[in-house]
Amino acid sequence: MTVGNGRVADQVSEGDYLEPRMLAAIDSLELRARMVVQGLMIGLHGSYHQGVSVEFSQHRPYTTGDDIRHIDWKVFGRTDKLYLKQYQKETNLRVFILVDISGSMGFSSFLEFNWRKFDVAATLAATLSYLAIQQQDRVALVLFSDEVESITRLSNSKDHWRAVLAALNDASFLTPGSHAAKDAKSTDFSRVFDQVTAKLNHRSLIILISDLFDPDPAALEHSLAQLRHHHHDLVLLHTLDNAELTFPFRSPVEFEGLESEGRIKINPAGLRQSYLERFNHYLQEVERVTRRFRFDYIRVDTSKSLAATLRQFIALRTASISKGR
Amino acid sequence: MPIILGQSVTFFATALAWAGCGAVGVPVAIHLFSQLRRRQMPWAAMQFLVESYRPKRRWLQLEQLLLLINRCLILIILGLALSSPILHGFTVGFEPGAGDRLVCIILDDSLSTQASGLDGKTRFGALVDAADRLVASLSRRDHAGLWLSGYPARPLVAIPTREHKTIRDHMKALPRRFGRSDMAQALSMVLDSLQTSVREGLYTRAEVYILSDWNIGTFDPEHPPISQLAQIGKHAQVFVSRPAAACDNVQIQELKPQRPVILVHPDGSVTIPVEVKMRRFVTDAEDTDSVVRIVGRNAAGHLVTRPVERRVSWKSGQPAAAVSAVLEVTNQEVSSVVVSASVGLPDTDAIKPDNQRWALVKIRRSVTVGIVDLVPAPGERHNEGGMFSPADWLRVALVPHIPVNRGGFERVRVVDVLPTGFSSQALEGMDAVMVLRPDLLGVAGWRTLAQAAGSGAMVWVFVPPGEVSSAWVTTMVKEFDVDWRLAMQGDVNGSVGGPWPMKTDIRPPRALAMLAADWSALLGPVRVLRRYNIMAQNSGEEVWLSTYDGRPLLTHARVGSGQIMFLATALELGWTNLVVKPLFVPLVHESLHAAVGSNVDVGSTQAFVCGDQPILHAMWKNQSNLVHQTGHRISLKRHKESVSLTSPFNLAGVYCGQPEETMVATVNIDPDASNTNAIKPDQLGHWFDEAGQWHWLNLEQPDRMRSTRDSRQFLGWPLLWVVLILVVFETILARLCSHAGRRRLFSGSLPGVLPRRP
Repeated sequence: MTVGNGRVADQVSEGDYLEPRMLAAIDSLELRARMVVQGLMIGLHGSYHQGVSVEFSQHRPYTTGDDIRHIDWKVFGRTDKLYLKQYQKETNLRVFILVDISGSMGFSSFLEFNWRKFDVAATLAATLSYLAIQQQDRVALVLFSDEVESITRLSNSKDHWRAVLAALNDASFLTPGSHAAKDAKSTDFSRVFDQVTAKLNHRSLIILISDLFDPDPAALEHSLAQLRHHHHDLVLLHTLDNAELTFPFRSPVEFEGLESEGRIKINPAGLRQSYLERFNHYLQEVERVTRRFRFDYIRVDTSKSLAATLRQFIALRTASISKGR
Repeated sequence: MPIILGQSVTFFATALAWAGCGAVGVPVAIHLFSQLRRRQMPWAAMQFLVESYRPKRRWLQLEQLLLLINRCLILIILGLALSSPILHGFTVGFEPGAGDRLVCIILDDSLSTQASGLDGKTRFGALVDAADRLVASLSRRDHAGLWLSGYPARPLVAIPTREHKTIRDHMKALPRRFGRSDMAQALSMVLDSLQTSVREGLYTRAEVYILSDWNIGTFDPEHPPISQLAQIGKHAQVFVSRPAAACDNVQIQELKPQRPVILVHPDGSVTIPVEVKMRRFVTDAEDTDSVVRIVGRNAAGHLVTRPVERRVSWKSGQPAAAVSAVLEVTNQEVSSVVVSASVGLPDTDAIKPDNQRWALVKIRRSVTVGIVDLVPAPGERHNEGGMFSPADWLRVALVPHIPVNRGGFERVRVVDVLPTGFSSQALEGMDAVMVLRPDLLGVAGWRTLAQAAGSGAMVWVFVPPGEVSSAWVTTMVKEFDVDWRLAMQGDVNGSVGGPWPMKTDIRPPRALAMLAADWSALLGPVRVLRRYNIMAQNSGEEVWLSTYDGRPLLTHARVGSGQIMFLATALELGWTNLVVKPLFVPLVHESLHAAVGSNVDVGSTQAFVCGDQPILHAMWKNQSNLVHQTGHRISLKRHKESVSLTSPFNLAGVYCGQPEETMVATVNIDPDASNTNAIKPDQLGHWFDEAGQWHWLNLEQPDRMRSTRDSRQFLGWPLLWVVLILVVFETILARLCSHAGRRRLFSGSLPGVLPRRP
């Protein structure tokens, strides 16, 4: 497998790398993130738009260890000297990746392997932070539930990425093989965003990775309004399990809430239509609210490959940057 | 109260029925198992699930319950159906509380129900008890009516009522009745009530209960009320008590005086020959003896004859017996005698009132006969050669052989009447008018004769001898309004080919029944030389005598209260030798007896039976009441030409007029009323099959309305149909409860949330 020149490996396709089954088999978040990045690189196939930020702004001399992909060969042809292209926000973008670690993120409908919404979120967070750091953007990781649980420093060093990984691995409810924590918490966006925006001194990019199951639906709108007011940008990665999207249950089931909502015994067939109507309405509302504030919205299905999600993310960011947002 | 099946249902394969019941546990167990074996699923989007579940919780639970119940029912009913259930008879579950129900009760209160059984209780008592229990078991919303079938059938509670206590009180106060059962009329009355109720839409259901002992005679076997039963069956369910068991009974079936009017003998004595017929309805009774006592009394009840007793020895199995007696009237002044016959029987005789019977006999000291003929001058005889004239022959036949001056008395008073110019006054008081010269009568004369006949006299017309026109026949026919005609004008001479003999192979008319024993011998010697060829068109007229060729010789017709007779030959030897043959005198006398006996003037001897409410002749118009020998009184109501009773005869016996006690009427029990043999159940069932579905009624438990009709109804197929319906229902319900169809709403790439366009 090679990277950099965009050629696809003989035996493994880009889709295979990013399939949940493959990713779930990798315990190490770091390795998983690298696999995602690699798969993404292969899929992008030599596109220049591989970073969080992609606008070229100036040159700087090549030093040993720099990524040779950014060598401006035209300049070399003219000057016989190696210069690297520098991109517009390479050193200016502040990225805050907010990852929801409430009880609901611990849900997984996969029976053969453990692939929770949090696992997807963590993988996305790790991947995006890696890409950001690669672009010399400064990244901070915020873990939240009903409040901000932890927040890393804002940095773009390579060591900082490991700190991000460590924080993700140490998420308090995460127990290998378990689906929920004993004291799983619910989500409180208004409080979380209050805490986060307090730390945003400059215009920043917020990447919110959550299922957005907030008892107070209006809190999201308020929070987004707050962000827009402070001229921050937001990409919402709405992470949902396929079972939540399709409600495929037929036989009688006893459902247990992951955020201490209690249990109910139902015959799912009778409730399916009603549930899907309500859920769909909720999703559309979230998307509508998000777009109303001119933020980007991406729905992430945990049963699907992450490739589409990431490509969509990159495309959206490219478009945003092109528009000068 | 629920519909009771109880022991009325049997199963051919009981094990399958139990298996079906036991199989109910399977769906119940599956249901419980599925409840316990629910998969536990941690769920993140709980709020959406809860919001969806709350409003539909009850409906979802109901769906599952309906499915469970339906599946259980399918198994139970399938098991019952496969076990071949058979419904024996029909147990009706119309228990109290049904409401809006019309109950019609027909109670038989005829004489036969007074028969008592071995327990001493009468049949009527048992029927009333059963009816009482029936009414007591009705719900407050049920309307009931009561009809009595004893002749005459009548409603006791014609308009159905909820006042059940009133009905029960009426039943307990019912008097004894002595008539026969008039069930056909009672059924007609009930049918009218049912049809009225149906027309007015008053009731949702109707039931008819017929409580009777069903003795022979309840239904006329020749004309059973099939149409009424069929009509009743369309509107109501019919419940019928079973025929009662037969019991021993002896009855006096008939007490028949030889003549209703007795003429005093020439020697002044009066004897009343009577015949008594008896019937015995037995089961397996042994030989027994009984004594029949016959006696005559006057209207006041005093003996006027010596009692006569006749012993009857009944052999085992003997169904009938007859005795005859001649009562000698000891009181010469009596004008009417009430003959009574009674039979003494042991206590095992079921019905006592039919052991006595009455008959009224009128005594006539003389009858008046007018002879319409030309009266010859003194010393003159208008017949030729010193031969007897027709009048002479008649006088010889009518006049008693004991002259008055020798102690005899004028038994037949003969009055000469000239044929011209006589009026109705001239014929007044005459019992008979013999017309020997009809050719001399004018239209007025014929009219007068017709009026006399209409008033009760007998008019006997003889062909006049000699060569006279026969045109008078037309006038006679017209004035008397009889359907006779002459086949040819004038007389017919039978000299060619010999005189006509009489037709002897015929039975004598009823009026001449006394001559029946010697009828052929009396007719044999009679010859007819000349005759009128008369034809009788209407079968109403009776031909009393005819010649061997079948042509009428002596014809008879009723005219109003009287009658007309016509002899198609003259009383002269040149015409016939009848006058000198033994037939002539008894023929004249018996005809005269018959005329006098059938006269309405003696209509008081008309036979009435218990239950009759007759129209009496105007001769009763001066009476205000009829009083029974026990003192029971019946009022009379006068009309223009008749008198009617305000209530029917119930008691048998002698009724005297009031104020004139000499006006007497006798009422007897209808012999069929006390026939204690019952109609066979099969025959009765065959008639009631016309009513559609009907049921035997258990008198012991009429309120349970149980029936023991031997009908078997296989319930398997109806139950299988029920199972099929339940299976279809289960399929539909399961489909609905699976909500599978609703998946099609989300058909597409994502069977869940609608696909979001990137």
